[in-house]
Amino acid sequence: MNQIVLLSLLDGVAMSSVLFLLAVGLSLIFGVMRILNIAHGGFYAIGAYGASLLGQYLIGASGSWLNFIVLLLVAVVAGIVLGFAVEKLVLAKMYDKEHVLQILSTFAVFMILEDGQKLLFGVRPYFYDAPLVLLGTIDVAGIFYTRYQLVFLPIVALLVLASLMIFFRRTQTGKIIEAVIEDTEISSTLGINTKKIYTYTFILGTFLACLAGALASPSTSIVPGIGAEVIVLSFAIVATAGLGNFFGTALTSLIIGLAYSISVYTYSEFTNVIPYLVMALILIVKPYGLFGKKELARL
Amino acid sequence: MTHTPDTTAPILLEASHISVRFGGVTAADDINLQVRQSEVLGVIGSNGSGKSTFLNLCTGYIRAAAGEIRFQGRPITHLSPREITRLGIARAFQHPQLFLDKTVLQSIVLGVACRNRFWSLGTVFQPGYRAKADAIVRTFGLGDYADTLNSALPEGVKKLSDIAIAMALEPSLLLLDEPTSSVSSANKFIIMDTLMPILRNSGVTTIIVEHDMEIVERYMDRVVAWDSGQIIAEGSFSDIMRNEDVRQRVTG
Amino acid sequence: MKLNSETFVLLLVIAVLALVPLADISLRAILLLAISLAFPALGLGLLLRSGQVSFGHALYYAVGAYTVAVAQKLHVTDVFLTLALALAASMVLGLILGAILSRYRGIFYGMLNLAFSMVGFTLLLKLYDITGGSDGMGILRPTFLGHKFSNPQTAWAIYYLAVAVLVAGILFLEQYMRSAPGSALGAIRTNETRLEYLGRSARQVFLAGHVISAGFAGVGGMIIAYSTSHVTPELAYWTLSAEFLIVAIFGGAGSFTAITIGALAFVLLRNLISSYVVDAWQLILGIILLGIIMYMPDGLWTLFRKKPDAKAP
Repeated sequence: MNQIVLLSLLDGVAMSSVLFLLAVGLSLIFGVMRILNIAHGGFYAIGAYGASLLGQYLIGASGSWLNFIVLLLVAVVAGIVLGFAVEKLVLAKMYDKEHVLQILSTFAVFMILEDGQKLLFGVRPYFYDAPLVLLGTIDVAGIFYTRYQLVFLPIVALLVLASLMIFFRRTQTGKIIEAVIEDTEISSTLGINTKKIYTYTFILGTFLACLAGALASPSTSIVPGIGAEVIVLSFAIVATAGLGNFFGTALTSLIIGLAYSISVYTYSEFTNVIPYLVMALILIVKPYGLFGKKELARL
Repeated sequence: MTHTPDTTAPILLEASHISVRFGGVTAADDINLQVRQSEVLGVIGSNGSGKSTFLNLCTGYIRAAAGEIRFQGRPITHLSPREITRLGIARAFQHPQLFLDKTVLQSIVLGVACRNRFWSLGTVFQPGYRAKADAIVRTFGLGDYADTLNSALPEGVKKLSDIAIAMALEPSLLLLDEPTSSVSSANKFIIMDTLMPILRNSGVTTIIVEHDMEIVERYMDRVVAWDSGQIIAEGSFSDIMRNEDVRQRVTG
Repeated sequence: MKLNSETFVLLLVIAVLALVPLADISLRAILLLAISLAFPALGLGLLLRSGQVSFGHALYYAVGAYTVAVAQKLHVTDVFLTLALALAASMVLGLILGAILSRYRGIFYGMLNLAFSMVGFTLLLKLYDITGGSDGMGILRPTFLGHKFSNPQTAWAIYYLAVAVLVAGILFLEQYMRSAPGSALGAIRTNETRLEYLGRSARQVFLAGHVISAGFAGVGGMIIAYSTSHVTPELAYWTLSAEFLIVAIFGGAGSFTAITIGALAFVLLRNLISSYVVDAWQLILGIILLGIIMYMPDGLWTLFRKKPDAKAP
């Protein structure tokens, strides 16, 4: 029994790390721009494909510490290029339109990315685990775990969490963005250039999605459709966490990641359902998410 | 415009020993108030005096920490806004709460339909509802705006639209929260001159929270003055104005 | 019924649906597909009146479809019965889930719907013994009040039944929006609080809307079941829910007739594109969708209408 608990916890930590990176980007975009970015899943997939492809062809099967640079580089470049392009070409034209239309526009972008991936990368599975192998394994109470999943991923997630918290609490730009999250109308009357904030936020969110994909790529086989699978999971986390702080999103990612992996080891038939059941249960008890607060109407 | 208060009229609304607390602030402190049928009661007080709190209490938006409110003899202290509305209390808001993508007529017809317990799938513009709605539009002088979207109305008309939809419910008690605020001086009187005959003819009991003393003097039968969560004076406008406390703490 | 331009367009649509297959039978299948998509889109159109979007209506679509399959296993093959059962099953589920869902708005409503549909998808996938798992279930020819027709006749009968039910559905929704519950549903969009202060429960009004929209999706599912003779768990996947939404916006969410036109346009367009560009039709469709959203946000309907009016009849 202890073995199972340990296995679940260790597995859950790796999964939660990736989920967190995805969810926090999505949450940021939703918090600042009030847009539910379905294309986020597409960026994840591109990050994964990109990292896998570049790793394979630039570095080769044996791998080296360069791999990690590649992972980061793919995320940064893809994040900036894609994020900028999508925000300027599509989203910027949608800010004055209804929410439904905004969401659908991100779905349209998602559709374009899905086919784009197939055209660029083909449909056969990609598998490149060199970064994983490189870091070797670690013995935890008799079970061998990859350092990549147990140590590297959580550290990156924590680094990102810490950076975000510092950025938003301590820097000027960060505080401005938080102000926009609080109240977009007041922010623009205060002279804040909300358009620029939107662009930066979207690029940041896209970068995080690509990073999540790049980091997840060594441990899984990359096929068409991973974007679709992962986006729905991220939505669940964002909705469950509620609109609020990153710490909340981190905690929620941990809860759902752990719940997911525990079920893999216990009742694996319905593992896919677990995140949604957790979400439903939490939202029933706390209708605005674990950390969200009700926006009171002025009467 | 004012009537002499009819002290033989039955009591419609009665608040007994009402107390409301928000955190450390006492918004209402052992309030006792009786409102008689068909009277137009003015509620005055400076900001934060508790007058709006009282209104919100009567409509179920806030819960009292202690005390009881009775409407037509029935306790309503713990009921929801929806239940209280169904009992016959309607309100209009300081910031008019309108259905922005409906026209004035469409909103009023919906208001009329809301009076009925059961809804059919028949059109909401059926003859019975339509006639009542048209009458309300007419008496409120909204004829020119009947087919205008609520979002496109001028400020003063929005106020009337808000009150009209409340009246569509044919309430026994109407609560108005600063009906002449954010409205030009000329429009203030237009609104009240339009409103008062409607109130008198229907006999609806009305409580009006108001800031403008001229409006209070001209239109209210009886006045209640609030300060720091307490009622400090009650009576006709002239009686109230003779009260030293009222002059100092309320009208300034 | 007032004869205005919109009624005329509806008659035109009915005429197209009724007559085109007679002229070219190869178009019948695609028109039936369009009808099966129109139903859930119409349901979403109703919800959009209250300002809410569901990302999980594929659940009810799948429920409608699988009801036909399960009924068949229980030797119920009459098409009118399966229609009634599909409608009932999806509405009952809509009522049960709606009891929870109707408290939520905005992203939470959208996501909770999504959550339930993904639970449904997984259940359909994993409960192999009942649902056939990823293989799905086959659908046989239905009977009509005890009569079994030949294959070609059945196909025609199903088609015209679908058209008839579609017309009935559109007329129902239009009447619903004219009625008090429909007006109240629209009121939720701009001022739910005011509705409560008129003595009505916004939650109940919204629940009614949710249940009706679930029913429409269920009927769509029943049609796709007969149309493709096969049901699979993919019918509950979230990308299909998104597709329903696209269809609802394509023609113009403001009018139920427009939504139906949108369904036709969407299916025809997708067919056209995928026959020319087999590998990248999603990309092209995505671009076209973006174009419509950005430049014709009221849907294709804006190409034909001058100005929407909000006047009372």
